Amino acid sequence: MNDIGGAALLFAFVAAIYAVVIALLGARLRRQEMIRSAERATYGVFGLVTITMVVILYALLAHDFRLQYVASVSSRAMPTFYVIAALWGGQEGSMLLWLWLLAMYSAIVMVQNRHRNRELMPYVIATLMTTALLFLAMLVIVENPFRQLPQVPRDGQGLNPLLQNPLMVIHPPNLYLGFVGFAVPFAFAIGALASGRLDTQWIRSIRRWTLVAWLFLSIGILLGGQWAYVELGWGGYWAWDPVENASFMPWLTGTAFLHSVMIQEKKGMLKVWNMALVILTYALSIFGTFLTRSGVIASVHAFAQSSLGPYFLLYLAGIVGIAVALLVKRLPELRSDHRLESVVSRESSFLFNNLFLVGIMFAVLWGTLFPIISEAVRGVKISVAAPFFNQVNIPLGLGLLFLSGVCPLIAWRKASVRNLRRNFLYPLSLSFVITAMLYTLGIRHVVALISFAICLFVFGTIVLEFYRGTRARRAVSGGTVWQAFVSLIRRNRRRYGGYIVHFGVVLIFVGITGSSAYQIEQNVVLHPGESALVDTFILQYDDLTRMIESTYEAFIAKLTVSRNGKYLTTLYPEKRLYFAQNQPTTEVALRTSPFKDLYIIMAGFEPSKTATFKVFVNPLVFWMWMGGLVMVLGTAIAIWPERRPYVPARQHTAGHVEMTAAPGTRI
Amino acid sequence: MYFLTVPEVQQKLIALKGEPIRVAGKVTEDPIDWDVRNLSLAFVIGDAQSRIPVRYKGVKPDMFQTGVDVIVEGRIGQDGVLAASVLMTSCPSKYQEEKSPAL
Amino acid sequence: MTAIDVAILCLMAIGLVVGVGEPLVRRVSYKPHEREENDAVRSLLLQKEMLYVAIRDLDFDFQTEKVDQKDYGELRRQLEREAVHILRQLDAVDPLVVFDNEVERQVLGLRRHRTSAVGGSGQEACPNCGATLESADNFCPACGQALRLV
Repeated sequence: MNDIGGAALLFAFVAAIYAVVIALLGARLRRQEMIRSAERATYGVFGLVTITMVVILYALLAHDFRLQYVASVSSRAMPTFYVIAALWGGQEGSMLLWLWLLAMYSAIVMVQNRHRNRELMPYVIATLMTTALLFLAMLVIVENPFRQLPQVPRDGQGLNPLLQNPLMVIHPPNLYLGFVGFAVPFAFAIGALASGRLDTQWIRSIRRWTLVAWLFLSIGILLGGQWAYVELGWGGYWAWDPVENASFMPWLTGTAFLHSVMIQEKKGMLKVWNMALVILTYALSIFGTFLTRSGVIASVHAFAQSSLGPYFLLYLAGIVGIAVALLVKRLPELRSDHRLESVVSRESSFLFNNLFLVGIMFAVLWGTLFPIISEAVRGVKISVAAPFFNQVNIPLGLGLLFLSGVCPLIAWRKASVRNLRRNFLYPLSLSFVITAMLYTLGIRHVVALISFAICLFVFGTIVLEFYRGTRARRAVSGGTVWQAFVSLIRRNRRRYGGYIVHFGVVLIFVGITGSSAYQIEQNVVLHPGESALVDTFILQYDDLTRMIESTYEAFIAKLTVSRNGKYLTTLYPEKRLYFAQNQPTTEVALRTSPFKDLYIIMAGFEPSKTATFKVFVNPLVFWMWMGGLVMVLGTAIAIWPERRPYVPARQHTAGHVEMTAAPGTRI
Repeated sequence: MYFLTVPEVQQKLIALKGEPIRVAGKVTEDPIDWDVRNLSLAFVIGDAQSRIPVRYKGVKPDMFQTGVDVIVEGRIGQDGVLAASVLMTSCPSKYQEEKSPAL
Repeated sequence: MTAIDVAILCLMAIGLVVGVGEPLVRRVSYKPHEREENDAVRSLLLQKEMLYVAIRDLDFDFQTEKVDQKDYGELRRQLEREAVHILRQLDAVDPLVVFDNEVERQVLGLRRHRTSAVGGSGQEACPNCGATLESADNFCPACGQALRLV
């Protein structure tokens, strides 16, 4: 069985090479049948990699410890759910997952475009399959999941207990769905550049792909933060760790791209900038994948020191080199169709948005790479930590947030300044009034106040937009307020979906502000029966019990939590000793509410059962996760296909459906 | 902030006193003192040739034990002991994560 | 490797080769579902659509009070001029391009726009969707088409 898996991987490798070669050949010789053959090969790669995945999955579930991978990430006692998740728990398996997602995306792209974009497809196929080759090469040559052990162990090592957590199970797949997703826009960009078909057609073809990739990346990043918060026990969710940064950077440029793309669609401007953004986003995705796996940067996240580095770097240099060469070659054809009509316009606010986002990205990149550069150039190792990132990114982030409030108030092309001033009035007043209230209630932290003020402002502008839009809709077609509201969103999914996403971002900022500025941290030492007061919570330490489970031994403390004499909840922070790992893990006890999180870990205990607890009170963290959900909702609305209110003009050919759509098409 | 190895710190000890530094090293076999009540961890990092005593105020990381690679951030005091505000463990042999940062 | 393994391997290999080779062997010359691209027409059609979208955006911005009367009037006239220009170009460029009622109506609608601004009123049909209108309407209640440059 395992031999089939290994063979499938090898066949996939060959098929991918074939696909690249025949696709490019077919483009050169203008032979459609060759390109069709390349498509078949792409389907083949998907099928073969799926076979490989199935074989590994089977081996995991059957506890086939002949395979080194299976032995290293699973054990007999592990719950089945985690045995399956162990598929991507280690280096080889996670690369296989990455590859499989890429193959799946490629197959979907084939299906979507079997009658479209024919000039672009050969290059799209070649680009996607070259990426597949990178991973196939690494899997076949260096990190082969089918490596066998000289002696079959009786039991496997098991998955690191830190990874045996539902959040950790879905965090990597989400991130990969994001990273890999950006390969598709990149492939189309290369296709447009290589084929010379540089009109906005390629951009429209990838619009949903970009949104989907961005969505998954956003979810992946938030899940990573949530996992860190709930599992790692240091009371926070983001540490500007190089690997965290590696996922954040493509998110930043991806967000910039999502916005600047609209300018190209509406005014035919920023063509070169958009190309550069797509290439950059994809390069950062690959770079991020590389950082996580090569051990180049001292990171708490690092995989094994592996020899994969050269493969990634070679691929990255090659693909970016080709992309840039193509871009330079097509530069003359990428001139703008129009110019900016007015500085006070939505277009220019989008431009500022891009500048901010790319600025933050460069700051993060600098902070992440500086240690390596410094070591290479001066031989001195420097480390860049949170203070740097916070100092630079907080002002930029707040500026960006403010911009997201200003932008909806401005019209496309040219805004009337008088209207603008009037439109500013309501949200600014709301913000001012409530911020003043907060101040009188005791909130004095300057940055927090500024942040809340901006959040309120942006919230105000979003509400205003929905209000005015609903009113306008009602004026046109009557009906109840609710009907007008729904109809408004249905006809302008992109715009209003976007506003909802912005609202989600506001909530996230609220959560970050509260938990950063007003976190309370306290150590308490308690004998059984004693109580302590932290913030407004009374924690009574009842007892410490010892329990044996199938894979670990646990020491569980029981803490009764009350406030103002009223019982709130009982929390159970733990220390666990997993038999297979021989090292303790700490389980966080968490009580969440919209206002405050009560977060407790047991730092240690003595034989007398006297225990030391580290207690955090984190305000408003709840809103971060809420904001994430809202962002997902907003993106779903934006992605949903729009009904066209008009029957499109009768088509000359089926292929022109997209292009001659009637004015009812809402973008 | 400079990021150094233990031998490098030993060499430049005088110059580095009082400077914020980050040091990577292995926890030696010297006795580890973990005071649960005061959350104070005293240990030594380095190897046979060079050693630095460290005192860390905070929660003992789960992965912390003799022989583990750690990264500490802090300042070396006049007594030659590195007063650490950050202590991170890393386990390069597997896909592992652990973080125990500052106060 | 058992005999079954070998059998499956062979099946996989054959399947791959057949699947990939079939298009080559059949030498199907691809029947384009799109006709041969006429770049000029494509580009004009894209521009036309961009303009229609811009007009819709502008109408919406006006309805939601981001653009005042004067700016709205100016910008809309400008966009309409460009749209008519494009339509005329499309007319001239490719005789194979078929204009059906939809487009004609749009052109008419634009022209009627300007006549009603001059002063014409009374019972009208919406130039876009054909619904009956009241003389006081600024926007067609059925499809939202802006009717007047007031």
